[in-house]
Amino acid sequence: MRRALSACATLAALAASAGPAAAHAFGQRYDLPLPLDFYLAGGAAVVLLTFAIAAAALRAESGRRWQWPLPRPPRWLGRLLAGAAGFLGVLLFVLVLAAGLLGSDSPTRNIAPVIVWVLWWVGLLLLAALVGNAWPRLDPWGTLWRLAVRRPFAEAPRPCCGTWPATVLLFLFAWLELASEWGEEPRALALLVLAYSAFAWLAMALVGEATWRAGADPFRRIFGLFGRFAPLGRNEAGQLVLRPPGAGLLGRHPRALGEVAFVLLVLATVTFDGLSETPLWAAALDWLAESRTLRPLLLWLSAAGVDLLAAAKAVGLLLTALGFFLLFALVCRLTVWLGGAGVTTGQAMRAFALSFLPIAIAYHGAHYLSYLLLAGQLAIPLASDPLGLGWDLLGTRGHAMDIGVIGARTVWYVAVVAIVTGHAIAVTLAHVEALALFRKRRAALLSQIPMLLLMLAFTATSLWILAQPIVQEPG
Amino acid sequence: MLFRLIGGFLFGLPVLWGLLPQPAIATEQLFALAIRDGRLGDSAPTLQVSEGDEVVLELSSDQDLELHLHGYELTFALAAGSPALWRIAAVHSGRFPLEAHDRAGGDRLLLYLEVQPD
Repeated sequence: MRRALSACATLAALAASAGPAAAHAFGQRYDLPLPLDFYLAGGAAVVLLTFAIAAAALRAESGRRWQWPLPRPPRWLGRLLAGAAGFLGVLLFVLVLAAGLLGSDSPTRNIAPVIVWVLWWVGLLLLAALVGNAWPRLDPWGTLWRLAVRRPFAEAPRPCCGTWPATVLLFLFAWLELASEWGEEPRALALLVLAYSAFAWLAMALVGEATWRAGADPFRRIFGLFGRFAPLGRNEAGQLVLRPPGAGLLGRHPRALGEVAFVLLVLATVTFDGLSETPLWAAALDWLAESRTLRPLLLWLSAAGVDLLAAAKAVGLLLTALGFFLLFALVCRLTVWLGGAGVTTGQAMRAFALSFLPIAIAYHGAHYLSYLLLAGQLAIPLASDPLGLGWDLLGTRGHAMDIGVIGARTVWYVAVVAIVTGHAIAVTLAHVEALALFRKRRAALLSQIPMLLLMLAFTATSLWILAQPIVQEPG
Repeated sequence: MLFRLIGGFLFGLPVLWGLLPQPAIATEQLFALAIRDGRLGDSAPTLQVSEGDEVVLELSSDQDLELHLHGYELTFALAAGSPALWRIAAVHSGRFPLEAHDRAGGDRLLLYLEVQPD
């Protein structure tokens, strides 16, 4: 009887999607669901733009002309900036470890989770997409490694383990971000950063830094992808160029399927983050908790000490990613069938994968805008007292979060504009890629029908999620 | 000329004022909430108000609770068996969870306060 009771309690906890009571308000979002008129206007704009772009007379080579070289900055300035960025990266890395290990236990009173999740993962990633990618210079693992071994920066990557390790590591990281409680606890977070550092440096020692960077480093790769979307970047010749957002994603296709899977995993991760806060996900958990067929399995897992909610999210994330990958493969198969000209499905998958990235970037921005502006404020008092020792370095110790900095209406406008823009860029990129891949114009246009439908489906999902009330158990 | 400009400006002011969006008249929104066992029924209800409203929660509970409105970061101590009024000026738009902390250190989601923008 007692056992049955505790099992019921576990399942009830799963149904209410409540984690263990940890007093935090770290991942809390206060966004209102998108109202119906915003939702409909966004949807209409997306459909109209899709047809307008498909009808526009783009040419295969148009993408190559969409960039303007910038003057090369003086050598000393480049060196100075690179040195400063490297120093800043290492400083923040040490600060995360020191604050995580020595500072407060509360996620909102410790600067480590704020730096990692808000400033770096949300803020710097968005900056990489909207301005340019600063991560290669900031990357503390790379900087410290080069300082330690004094090897030249450029060294050819060796073929070793393909491109899948980065995809697997990104999945683990996404699970940590979305499902696990460890990411928010300062101690656990610092220990995880230490463990990851040890792993990364060991891998660099075994296969070489360049191989690690090319095949396994998930952060280099995701920042690199977001940076290729940015208006500021480097072209194939390494020249600094200004370009319209997204144009940098044209050409230079992923060489292996692992990289294609990585792009779809990015899309699945940002989508699942929103999805796991909708009433639909809560209903799915309810169904799981009440299902008779699954009950013995859930009881056994819970008795074995598995956190059922984190496990459900891991399965949900994995299924979303697999679903996206299979859908994409199917659509590429159809595209090849309609486009003809002896193109294989694998070739099409590599050619079109990056076209989907703008949809992920747009959703990342729309989803996190208010979070960045609100949770980002936690850094203001913490910057004055990073280790929780009662310091007041910058005189900002007493700053309290002001939730009035951005209103719900502004968030709605920015979200809809971001989603519609991301979709328009995605459709344009796929269009240009199709014209380059298939010789005949007519076949290229025909081949785009399934691709456009898939993009419409992804964008409609983004809008739909934004129109759902956020169901989140406050800790 | 200068006087005309000033006169025109003074005359134009009320017109401009009329064109600008006016803040909605604050209305009082009363909700009666009987908390049993640290919760309100089976699922957390959503209370909908407009920005600028004054929200009045008429609260009663069968146990001592500390209520916490996230985002606004307001707290309210509610004693068992003695009904109380909690007035909240809804000055920020958004969807904010209100949760109850009991003596044992547990916390439960009570309701969402949705403040729609003007």
